[in-house]
Amino acid sequence: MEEIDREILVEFIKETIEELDGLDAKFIELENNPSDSETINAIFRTMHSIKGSASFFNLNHIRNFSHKLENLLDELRKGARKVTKDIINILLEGKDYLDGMFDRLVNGDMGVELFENETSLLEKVDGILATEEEKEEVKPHHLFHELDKMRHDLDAEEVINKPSVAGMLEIIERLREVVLGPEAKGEKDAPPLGQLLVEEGVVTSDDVSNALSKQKRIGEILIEEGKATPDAIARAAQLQEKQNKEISEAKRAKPVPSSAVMGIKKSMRIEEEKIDNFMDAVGELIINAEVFNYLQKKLETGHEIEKLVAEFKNASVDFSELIFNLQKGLAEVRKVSLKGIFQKVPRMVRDLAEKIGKEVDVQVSGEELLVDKSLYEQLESPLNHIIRNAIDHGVELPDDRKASGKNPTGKIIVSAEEVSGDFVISIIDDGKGMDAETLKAKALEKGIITPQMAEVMSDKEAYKLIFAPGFSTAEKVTDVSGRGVGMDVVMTALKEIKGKIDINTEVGRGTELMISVPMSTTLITISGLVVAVGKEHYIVPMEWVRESIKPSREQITSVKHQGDIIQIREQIYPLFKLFEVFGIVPASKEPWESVVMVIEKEDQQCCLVVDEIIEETQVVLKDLGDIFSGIPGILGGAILGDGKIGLVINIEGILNSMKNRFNTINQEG
Amino acid sequence: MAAQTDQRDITQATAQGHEGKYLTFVLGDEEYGVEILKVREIIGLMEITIVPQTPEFIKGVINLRGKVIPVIDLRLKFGMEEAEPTEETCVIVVDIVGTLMGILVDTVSEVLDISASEIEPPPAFDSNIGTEFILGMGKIKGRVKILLAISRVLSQEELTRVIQSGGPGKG
Repeated sequence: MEEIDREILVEFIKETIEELDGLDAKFIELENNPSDSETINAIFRTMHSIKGSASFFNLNHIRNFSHKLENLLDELRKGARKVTKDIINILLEGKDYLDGMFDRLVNGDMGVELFENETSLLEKVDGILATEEEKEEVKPHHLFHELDKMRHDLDAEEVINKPSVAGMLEIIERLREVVLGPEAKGEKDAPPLGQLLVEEGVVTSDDVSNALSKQKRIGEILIEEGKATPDAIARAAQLQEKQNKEISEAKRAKPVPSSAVMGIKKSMRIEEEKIDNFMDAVGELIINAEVFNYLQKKLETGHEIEKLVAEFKNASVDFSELIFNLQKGLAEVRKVSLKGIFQKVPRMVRDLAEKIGKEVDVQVSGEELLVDKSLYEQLESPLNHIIRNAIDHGVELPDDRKASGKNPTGKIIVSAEEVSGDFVISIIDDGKGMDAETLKAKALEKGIITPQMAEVMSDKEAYKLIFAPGFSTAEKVTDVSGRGVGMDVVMTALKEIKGKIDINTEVGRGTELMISVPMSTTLITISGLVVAVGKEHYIVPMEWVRESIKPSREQITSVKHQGDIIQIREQIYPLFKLFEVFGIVPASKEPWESVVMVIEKEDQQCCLVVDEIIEETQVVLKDLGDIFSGIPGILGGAILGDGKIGLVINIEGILNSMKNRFNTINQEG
Repeated sequence: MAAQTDQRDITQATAQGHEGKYLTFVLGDEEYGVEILKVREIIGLMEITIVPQTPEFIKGVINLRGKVIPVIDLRLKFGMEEAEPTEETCVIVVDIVGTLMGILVDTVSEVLDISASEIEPPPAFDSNIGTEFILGMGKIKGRVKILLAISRVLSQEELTRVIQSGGPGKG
């Protein structure tokens, strides 16, 4: 029994945390569009259901807290109170405290006391609620009237279980609070008047009980005043008793789990259909395995080999196809929408902008895009850093913007899209932009780069200096944008997910920063060419290979301090020898006795010398593990058809390390 | 005198922490032991794919049933001569905090139960291995086995230090 309750509670916590995550964006939306009844209703519903469930689980602190916020929301919803910045601030703060309360639950803290700051926020809410703004007072007879209307639903026995009863329960709940005062306040309230009078010696306790016995019950008063019929009151009283009994039974039957840490594991929702597809595929695989079994037995007899080869080929094709579908299906299952990250952006922008006195509008798009779960988890922090940086260093103060003829309110556009297998997030601001020379000067001053490096550095490379360790931290000791952490965490995080950054910027106009990441980091299949160098085999990813040639001696020139270059048709490329890069003994050291592959990676081109190209292949890229992560020329490993491991070449790493070598040679020369 | 007793007490305490079962193996003229709890399996020498741009002692990677795991040549790691592989050469697969790694050894001997009284502290000098890599010296039936702190020998830091400082490549 308790186990089931616990499960329900865990489910409630998970769901609520999810819902709370969505609230920030809704609050901001409400602030921007106070008359949007749909938004306010959605917020109200969320708060209402949190309250309801919290009360079911006896989580009194959450119930009382959300109840108060709900009251405030209710007034907004009814139009009895206007949405102001102050109110939004209070609601946002309240939402943060709710987050905190759920965090405590997740950590196994089952205490149902509110913290001091939480209580003081409630006092603030009370303060707002107490200020009259054509506030309609809730009178008992009002509630009874509603109750009266609803009682018809209850005439039939079987109706008791209908959802409308839930609504009824709610009314009763409110009734009780209005008539008897909030239950939770009971302990803190001053003693009753009678008790005080007795204590003061004004009257005796007998006098008090006498007076109390003469007090009329609320039903009687309502009947006397003609606000309700005796019949209606009787039914309501009956109902009240029944509900009271149900509630107390429910409380007995559902003890809150003891203070064990909630076993909340990472989980994700998966559409049933996807799982069904899996089961189908696995079923087919089992059949496929039977076919292989059958073929093996046939092979043992050694008859009709030719026919068997054909059958075997069919089975093997089926097998590959099934595996491919399974892999694709699994990748789909692992995907989650970006909504979780993106919906937090408006709140973050708002809070930060307000803190540093800037005005920023934010526009978010592409949140429906699905990305692999592991990617999702690692994207959040770099994205937040970049957005914070854009607000902090990109967007100017309102006065400065006005002075330079811009709209005082800055703009940040965050969008996500899929571009040819890569997943691209762009963060655009219309702030002051960046100047390559200024960045270089600053990096020089901080000793991040040398004067020689600054000289050969392209503008694009200079922009990326903002991510260099030590570049941004120093001046940000008390700053908002980094919480004491520099932008270099962006690069660290992106490296992990094999992401890249591209920056376009124009002084005075703004900055566009694009992060692109391969869609799937868990299972990357690569089509590549298996090449031989000496006794070793490597895989060169196909997407970068434009062509391969057997060059003639005349095409190749050695340039002093620059290594070799090769001319193919009209074009000249630097020529890198893989055996040199990796330090292996090749079949031949002469490029004209080898094969030259023309490599193109974005705007960089080069030629790579290998002994020979063996075949084309499809492999699954595997991480070699941490101890090899520092090797620039290797992307990872792959298990080849014969069970051997082929290393997959990282063209970019080779290009970079060769470029560095040239730079060093140039500097020395 | 008192100081000596203290020393012995401390030694005794460390030795107790290290008693247990060890898999022993041979490198050159010496016998070594690794805690059996860290050993996953022992495999014969299989084809090793050389990983370029790594130090000598990182032999490369092998395919262990679909997993790519690195293989370290302990002889080279400990500054001994490289040996020609023989029939007895094998790879001990160890689990270092969740990461599988292979160590290449001359031959595997036996599994020994070593008690605290048989363990002595590592010598302060006269070792080309470095005392930080030694848990203790197991003395069984007059023979000495060097009990390795294998997690330290194969720590990420220890293995990548050379790569990052641009150590000599293979070739």
